[in-house]
Amino acid sequence: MSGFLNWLDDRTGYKGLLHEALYERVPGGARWRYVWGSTLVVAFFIQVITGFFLWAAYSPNALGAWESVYYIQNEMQGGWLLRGVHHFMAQAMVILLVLHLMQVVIDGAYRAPREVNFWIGLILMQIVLGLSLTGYLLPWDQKGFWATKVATNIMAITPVVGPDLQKLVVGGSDYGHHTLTRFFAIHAGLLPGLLIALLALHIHVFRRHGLTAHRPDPARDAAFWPDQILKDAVASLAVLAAVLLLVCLPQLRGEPPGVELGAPANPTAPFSAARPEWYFLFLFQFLKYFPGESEVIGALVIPGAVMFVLFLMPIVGRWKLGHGFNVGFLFALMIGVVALTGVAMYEDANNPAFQAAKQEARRNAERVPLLIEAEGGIGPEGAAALLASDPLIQGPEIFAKQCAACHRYNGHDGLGHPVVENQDGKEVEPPPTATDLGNFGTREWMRSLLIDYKILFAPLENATWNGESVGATFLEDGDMVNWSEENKEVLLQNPDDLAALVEFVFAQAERSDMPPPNPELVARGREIFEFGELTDGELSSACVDCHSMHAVGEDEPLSEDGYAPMLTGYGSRKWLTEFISNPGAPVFYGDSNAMPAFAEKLSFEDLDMIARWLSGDYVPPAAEVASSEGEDVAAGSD
Amino acid sequence: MTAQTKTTADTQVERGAETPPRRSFFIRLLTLALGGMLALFPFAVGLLVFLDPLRTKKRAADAEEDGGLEGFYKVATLDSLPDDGTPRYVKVVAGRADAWTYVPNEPIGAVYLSKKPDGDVAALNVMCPHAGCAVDFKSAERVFECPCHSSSFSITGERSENSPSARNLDELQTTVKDGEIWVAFENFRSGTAERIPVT
Repeated sequence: MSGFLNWLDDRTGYKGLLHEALYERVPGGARWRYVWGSTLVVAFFIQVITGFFLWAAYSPNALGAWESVYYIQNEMQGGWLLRGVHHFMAQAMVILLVLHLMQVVIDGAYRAPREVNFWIGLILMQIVLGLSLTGYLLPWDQKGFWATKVATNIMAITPVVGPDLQKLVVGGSDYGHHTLTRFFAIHAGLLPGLLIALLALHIHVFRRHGLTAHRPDPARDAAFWPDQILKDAVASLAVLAAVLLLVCLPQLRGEPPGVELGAPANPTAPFSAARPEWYFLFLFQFLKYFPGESEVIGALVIPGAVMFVLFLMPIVGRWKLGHGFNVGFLFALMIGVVALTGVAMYEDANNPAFQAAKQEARRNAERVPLLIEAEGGIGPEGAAALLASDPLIQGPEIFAKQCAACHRYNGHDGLGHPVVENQDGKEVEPPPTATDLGNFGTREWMRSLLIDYKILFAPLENATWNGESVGATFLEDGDMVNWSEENKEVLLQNPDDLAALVEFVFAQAERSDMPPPNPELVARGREIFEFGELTDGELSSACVDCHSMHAVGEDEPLSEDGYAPMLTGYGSRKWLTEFISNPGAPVFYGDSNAMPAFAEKLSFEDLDMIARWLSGDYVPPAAEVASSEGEDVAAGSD
Repeated sequence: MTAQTKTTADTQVERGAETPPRRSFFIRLLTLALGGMLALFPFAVGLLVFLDPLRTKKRAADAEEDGGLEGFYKVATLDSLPDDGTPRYVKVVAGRADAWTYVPNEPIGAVYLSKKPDGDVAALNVMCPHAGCAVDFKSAERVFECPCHSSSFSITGERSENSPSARNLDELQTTVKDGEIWVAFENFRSGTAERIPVT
């Protein structure tokens, strides 16, 4: 063996190199405070390797980036672990480089002849921060997209070159494919290349000067290998352990492991929960204090000045007082950064709008994998399109904007917020002027229509048109109001018949999100609908006397030309689309209509979203809580 | 160590040392120039491509042209706006080109539309002029608020005293034709006090 090694050494001279690398003198012995540089090297090494393997699965383009990260995270074996390590190690590097900088400054290791090496170190720090910034965008999720957009907009206020610089970085005037390709080229090519080159220089120059310990005890002199390397390895292992803990932490909370992937980036979906990564929060907070034209001072001038002071440290530190100033400045800086970060977090924690936005972001992020599963994959138009066409997400948004002026949904605006108005500077909650649609289409809803019609439509009382109440006559003397009041008692006396009638009307919507209709009940209900004969008594009039109805699955209509609202397919997507488009049509409310026609107010897509949402036509949410339907079915089925 | 015989290389080096100064200077200059050109060549070619975004291209988004309304986009109907002047968030849909992808009907941005007392329609670009986040409309306080750095604007888009934003919300031209609202939609640079369109 040694023969072979000698042969190799003869041809390559490796032994000399190895000796130089490993047997560096550490005067005064190996120390824990020297480990930070090495931990940074190990961390960077881990980033390069995990980065390469992520690269082998990642696709930097606007229609594939999020999707490829989704695939890595959820479908590839160990993908969540690989991504998790890469994400948290990046954060660890930021902490490690601060510790390294602190050790160097406190120990005065920037003094002659180490000035140039210190400057190289500062440039390395900028490169690491640049890696973080560029990496944050790559998953192309809402969070990364909007946070980076803010950063590139700030870039644009640089005097003279700002706008052109922004265009080059973004790859045009808008974010898109080229933003990703450029950011990725910078993240995986340019910056790592520069880092490796400068790191080699950094280590070479460092080795050239060696270590100058504070008060070296010659008896404890040691070599890099194995004593210092052991300490370095232990520290690096501790860092890795911390990273792995962070990766696996969600599992302890019963959530999927690894890093969360936000909802796919949507340039026109306003993202109110946009924040940079935590180590940039201090800058984010700092900017709030520089309004208007003074933004350039907070974003460029002051940070630039701070960097300049850091660069001057080797020169200032020549004098004892200067060194004292440097250490003091660094500590003040650290305290300032920590304080600003704390304030930013505090303000966010106490900002209800921000918290609501965060929750919404979370909900959207958790929704997408369900939609993908339901479709069996992501279509060529990308994952963002899935959310944009999801009735469960879009329906409430549209409801809040278009319907909540009159209606309510379980008392709120569809999105969970109360409907508020500004009256003379005060915030008030105006009363609803139309029905609460929270349980529209359910069996419960049908029951209310039959026996509690007036209560269901009571909000119409509050509806006014030119000062006059719109609902007054309707609620006093409407035909259905009267029918409901007249027949409530007899229906309650025939609970099975009531359930049957409810079941029949409910069945017309053919909803897939609720327990299916009981065929026997439906048959009985149809009988009552047509003839009005109950087990014990009869209805004042049968439904067919007023309502048109072509029952599901039948060839011939049950009744035609009714003057009351048509009940064919009542509560279905089709019925709702037609109704909302034109509630005043003769087949619906006709002359007694009080609801605006939405055919012109809503785009066809929006109309479809609302109709599908209200009729339960969407991919069911993950933890489907048993609805009140369960009780109704139990009462009616055998 | 064995005595080394003079190699051809050694002779050449000696000969080179005897070269007259001007010729040696010329050789060094030529070598540096050639080496420099070789080194710079890939950067030059690469930089040429990298600077492509700085070329002013023709408009990426198509406009629905109807009756001389170039640059205007149909966004909503007049009926769809509340009579009390409450702004409505409306997406602007048009064809959008993103490098090699062309999508015919995609949101390219959004505006807040509101009915003005004189019957006209006001349109404000939803992008906060500070750093480009989309502003929210707070219905209770009747103001626009940016969730990113807390800039706030009145219902007509004027920035409040200590907003980080350097200018008001960007107002866009509108016109109403046959009950439909058309907006001359465009984006402006953020972070400047002056309104500069993005090209």
